[in-house]
Amino acid sequence: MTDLPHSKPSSIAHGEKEHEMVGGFTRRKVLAGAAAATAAMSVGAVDGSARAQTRQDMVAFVLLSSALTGIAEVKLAPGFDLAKSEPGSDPVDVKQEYFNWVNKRRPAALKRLLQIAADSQKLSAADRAQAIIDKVQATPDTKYLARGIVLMWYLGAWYDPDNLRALAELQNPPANAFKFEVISPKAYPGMGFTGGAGSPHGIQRNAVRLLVASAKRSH
Amino acid sequence: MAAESCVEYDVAIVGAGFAGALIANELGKAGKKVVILEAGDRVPPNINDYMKRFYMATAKVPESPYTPEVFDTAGNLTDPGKVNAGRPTVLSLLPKGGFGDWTDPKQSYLIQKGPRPFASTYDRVAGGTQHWLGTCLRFVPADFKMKTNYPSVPQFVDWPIGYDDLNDWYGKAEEELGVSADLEEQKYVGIHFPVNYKYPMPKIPSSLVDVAVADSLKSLTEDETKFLEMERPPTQIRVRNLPAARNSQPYRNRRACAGNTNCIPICPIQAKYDPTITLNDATNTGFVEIMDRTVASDIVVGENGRISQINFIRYAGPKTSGCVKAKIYVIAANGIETPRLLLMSRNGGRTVNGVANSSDMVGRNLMDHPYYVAWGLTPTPVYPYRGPLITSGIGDLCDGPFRAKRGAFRVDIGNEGWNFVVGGDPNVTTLDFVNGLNRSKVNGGQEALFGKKLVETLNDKFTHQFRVGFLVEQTPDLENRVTLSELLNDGLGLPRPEISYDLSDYTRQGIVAAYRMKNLLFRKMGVNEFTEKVAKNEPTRFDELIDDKIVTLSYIGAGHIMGTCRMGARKDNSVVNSFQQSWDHDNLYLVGSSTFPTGATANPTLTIVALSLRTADKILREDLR
Amino acid sequence: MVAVINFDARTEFGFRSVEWEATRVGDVIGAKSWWRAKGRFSASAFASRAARHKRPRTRAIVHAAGHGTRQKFSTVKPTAVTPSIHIARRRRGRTAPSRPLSVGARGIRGGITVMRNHSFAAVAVLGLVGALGSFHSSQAQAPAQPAKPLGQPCNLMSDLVQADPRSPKPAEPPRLTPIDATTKNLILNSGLPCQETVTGDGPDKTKTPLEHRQRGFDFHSWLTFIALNSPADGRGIDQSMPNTKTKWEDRANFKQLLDVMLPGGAASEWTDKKRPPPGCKSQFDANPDMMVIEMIEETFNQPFKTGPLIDQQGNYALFDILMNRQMFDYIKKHKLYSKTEQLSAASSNLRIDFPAGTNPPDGQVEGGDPGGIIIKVSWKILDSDAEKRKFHTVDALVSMPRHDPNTEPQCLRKTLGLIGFHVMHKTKSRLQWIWTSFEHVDNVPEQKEIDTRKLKPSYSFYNPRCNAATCRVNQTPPRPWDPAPSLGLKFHSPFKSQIVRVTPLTDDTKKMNTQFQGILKGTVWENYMQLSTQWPSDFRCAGKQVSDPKPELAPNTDLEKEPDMNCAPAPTYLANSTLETYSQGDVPLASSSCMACHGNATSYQLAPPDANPKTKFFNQSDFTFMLEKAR
Repeated sequence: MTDLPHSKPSSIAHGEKEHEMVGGFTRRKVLAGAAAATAAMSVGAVDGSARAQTRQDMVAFVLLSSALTGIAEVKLAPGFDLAKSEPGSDPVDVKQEYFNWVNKRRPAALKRLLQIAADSQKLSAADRAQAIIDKVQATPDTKYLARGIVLMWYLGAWYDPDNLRALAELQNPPANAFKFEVISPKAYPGMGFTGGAGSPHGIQRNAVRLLVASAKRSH
Repeated sequence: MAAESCVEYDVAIVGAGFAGALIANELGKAGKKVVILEAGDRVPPNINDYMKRFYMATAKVPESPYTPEVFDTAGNLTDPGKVNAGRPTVLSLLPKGGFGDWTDPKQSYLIQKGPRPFASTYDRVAGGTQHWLGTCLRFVPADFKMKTNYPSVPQFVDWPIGYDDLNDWYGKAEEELGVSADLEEQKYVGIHFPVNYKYPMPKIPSSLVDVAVADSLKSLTEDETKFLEMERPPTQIRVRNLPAARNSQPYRNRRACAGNTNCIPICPIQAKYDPTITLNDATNTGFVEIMDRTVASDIVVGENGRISQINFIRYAGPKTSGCVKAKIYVIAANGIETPRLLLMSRNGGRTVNGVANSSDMVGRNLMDHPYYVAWGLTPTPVYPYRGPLITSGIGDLCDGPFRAKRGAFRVDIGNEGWNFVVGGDPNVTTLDFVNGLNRSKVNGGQEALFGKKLVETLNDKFTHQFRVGFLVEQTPDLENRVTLSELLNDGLGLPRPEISYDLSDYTRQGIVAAYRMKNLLFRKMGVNEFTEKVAKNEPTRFDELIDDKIVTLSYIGAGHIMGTCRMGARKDNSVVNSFQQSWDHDNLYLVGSSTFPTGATANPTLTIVALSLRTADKILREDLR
Repeated sequence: MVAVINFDARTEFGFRSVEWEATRVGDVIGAKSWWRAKGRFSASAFASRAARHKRPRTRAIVHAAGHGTRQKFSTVKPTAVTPSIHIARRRRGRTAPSRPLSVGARGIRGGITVMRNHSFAAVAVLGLVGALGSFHSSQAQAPAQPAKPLGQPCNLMSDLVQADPRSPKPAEPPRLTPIDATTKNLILNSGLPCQETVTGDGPDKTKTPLEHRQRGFDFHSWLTFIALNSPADGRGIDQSMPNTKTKWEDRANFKQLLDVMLPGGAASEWTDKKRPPPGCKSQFDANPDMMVIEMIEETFNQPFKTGPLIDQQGNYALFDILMNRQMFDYIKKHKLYSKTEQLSAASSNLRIDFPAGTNPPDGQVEGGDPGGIIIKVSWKILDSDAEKRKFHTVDALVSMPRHDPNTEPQCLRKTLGLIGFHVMHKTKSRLQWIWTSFEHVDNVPEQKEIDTRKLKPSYSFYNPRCNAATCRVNQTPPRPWDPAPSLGLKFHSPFKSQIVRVTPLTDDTKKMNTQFQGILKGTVWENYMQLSTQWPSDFRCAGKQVSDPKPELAPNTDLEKEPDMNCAPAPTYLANSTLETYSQGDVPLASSSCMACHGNATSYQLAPPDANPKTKFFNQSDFTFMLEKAR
């Protein structure tokens, strides 16, 4: 997918990457990660205990989510590019919605999870996922928040980590431990990142398609 | 209500569902002035609100997109005693003592007297029970003559008309709704069509699940199928695509099905027909008006035995009362609300048993299609969720010598994995594998997974999920009935419906046969069954001796409410004649599936529509000439 | 008022003759950069530039000034070239003797101004020398009408890329406010883009790649809007009057849907003459240039019967659909104008794939093609003269819906004002099409404007003096919706649509609109604004062809890697307040989104009769609902 009309055929290639200007123009590099990291983006309505989110936070959130869910980063966040510290921008941007949601409810545990993901950035892709999975399970608050994040991506629904813990650990959990909240109409269909193209019953159909697709595409 | 202050129309219709909308439209097209009194909310300009309510609902039950709200702000089931125009919800069919207790009138709109729960629900909005799937099957000819064909079953009666009386009306119904089907495929068990008949649209393609089921039933031995007690044990059982009011092509300015797998409760692109379409056509004639949030409360019988007016209560704003006078009255309020209204109308003691009830049949013979459902994992992927919720089924087993002894069944091949079962997949299975639980029963090891392992495991499960459903024929039993509660009212102070309901032995044996069929099917498909063991406190459970073993079975409701104002040839044992006209009051028509004297196995909607069009034609030809 | 300008130009290419007839104030003859001063000009700056560029085509800009103030200018393609300039002046209809100007090798001395007020005619001619020379090599005999179809050659502009790729300057967005003449000319006269040129980059580093691309697409859409609405006779849009026929209104460029989907599924030729409904014949024969709208349900009832739109004067809004030549040719080739043909076995293996726009090969000017373009427009009936000045108008015959099988429906002559304009454009790199929508600025308010009481005195579809309780917002009119024969195009009840825009325009779009409106100032087109452009944002599918070879299916999956129908539309939702009035919102699948809805469009095609039941078959109609209108 070339943006520009005069790109050479070879640079069109696989279409996954955005193309830089070619031809007679000055070659320009997309913003270096360093510059990008300092650009702070505010998150929207959050309570006092949450801090502003940086670009690096979102990159970490995507890495974390991908490792935990088993779904490729670029599927969760179209346009994601680790090398360029680009968290990706897509029209639905459900990752931002999820980030805000979690940040509002479990800012401290989220912070720790993001740190785990950030620390693993330097590992190879093959090792990173397992490293993150291992580390998040070290303490209950990160472990169950991690599970909650996975459920958000798969189901568009929030299962409170305390409820998850009760269900997992107690012999007779209270009945309302199975309670969940739908995050939003945008989150509900098709795991959100297909631009709402999934069916409203939703993830089912896209879950199947995308699960199959991502299972076959090792990352 | 003072007669002078009543509004006046040619025809007054109670209920803006399938029957009410279609009759209103036929009359409006002919220039007759019609008013529809609709108890619920009006037709909205778009489905944004319905869809949003559906998306945000944590329980995606059939009622979830529509008002009235299923839950109140505290998260409890809305107290039906406080709702102006309430209706049942599947969430109030749960065991005694807990959430959704089926016997708790603060949670259940229907006052369920038992012994078993009546498990079907309906909507109460303009458009009626628009959460339907869309299936449009014709009854087979044998279905109309159950007494003649199976005299050994005492409950059965014959319909006063037969398949041939309805053949043309079925065709008009199919055109009106926009039914997609393959003609040749629908010629089974005696179903025939006029020469040169064409369905409006070609069939929706079979799903991959359908193909898997069909393949497994292609070569059977007589030994395997003799339990069915058909004329001859079949060596092949055909899977046929279901005719459905679902566009396979653009039709009447509506889009074609895009496989959103969301038919129940709402099609996001309106590729499935729903009565708001006809309501819009009807009001567009300029002769039909809909009064929404208007609950008919009393049918007034005049001195000459004819209906003189219908009183109503409006709650659009502060509650007001009113009345309507018309030449013809049509009650189209569904199989529970129609008898309820008739029974409520006592006319100061002149109709102490209710209006139109000289036969004492009003409210009696309440039937459903008890629905037996089973599920499992297929050996190879079948990729559910592609296409409509259900595309095909097995109808060939709906008639045969067995019917002298047990109810027939029809098979629904589910295309939506385990969405309908285990408490609502994919949530349940996903939660199992993320949090190390086993509510779905597929996570025996209670593994809690992350990452690639999680994806692969879920992938493996979802692509193999399969569920099958059986609609079982129920006998019309006099004691299965709708009556009025003497103590409990709705938010308008009107008595709530009381339901007495049981399954006859004939019906239960039908479920047993369905169980056996399921075993055959699962064995031939190699399905690893995961149907939940029925809980001890499950209100719909019952035990049967099958092949010398006690098997516990249960049922749910198909949403098909029939029989409570049945049609017949004589006024002493039926409520209406074949035109759905009351024997007792010439200018009163009772329409909808409440007039079905027997229920067979086909979904009732197409027959409702055919009968409605036939009734509208009669009204125009004779009553309003 | 006419000014005839003849040039004698002695250039390094020799003597050339140029004669242009400037028929209107603001007719352009000349080149891009110019120097304006009352009564005099200098073309030297231009001349040197033109010589450097050796552009094959040139135009001179006639600068119209009324009483010394510039009013507007535009371009016209010259009819012929003569070397001497004679300026004919007209004074109130009389032609004054012409005065020759000599054109030296370095430009033209002397200034002439054509005055709008007709007190005297003058023409300011811009430097022509090099341009004239090079001009000779091209369309010296070019008539005032465009010789080439729309989109030939392709407009290669993008908002970050200069039109000239050989310039060493780094790419910057063109400065639109204030705008220099070169840029303005480029913006207004470079024609129709064939393919988008966008990039995820831009000077504002706080914006995301998505926002950068959005800006690029919005720019592309403005160029498209300008190109399509430029006068059909080839002049520049800045020379247009409110009722100047636009390129898309010219039947040589676009055909109405009902002229292609004929009764009985009949075939037709692009060049067939318009055949009006019988009831309109006499009026049409007297004025064959008029637009004819034959009313069917979709002409007054929005898609899927969502409702008609009634303006504050009680008139129906009217809707129409048009397609370009490329769309027509594909439909004709595959007989898709006929429902029977669509249903036939011959069509069962056809995967609908309309032509896609492509730019010319690297460095070239020719060889591109705009591909398929479909337009949907909404019109308002204009009764008052004041309104007629604020809208682009068309003189139209409206054939009412047939009510009576025995009598021809009425044919009403109306002045229609353009209120809404959708363009869908398929390009090679955006196979899910590019979708844009424009509206007249007076259609409806945004919610914020209502909340802050920053309302205009009047709107076409909103009464600022009616409160929300009395005039419920965004409600459909009371039924019946069909026009009553005796009332013509007036709605039967006093109801007036009270419409509010649910999704506000983004600040970036508003900013760009202000810039373009400034460029179009002085024409009726300054009263139009872009809502947004929706485009497929997922690279992995945007360029995938239906006809691409299918990759091997992975084992254990039947996942078919179809071009993803929806491909992450950006923005997710888009609605025109006059065309998708009642489905505005942000509820997935229920609210208006060009691609999400059009992605469900199908034809009548059936699976091949002998198809293996396991073979998948699709009858998607490449994002257009037009095919289901075949009869």
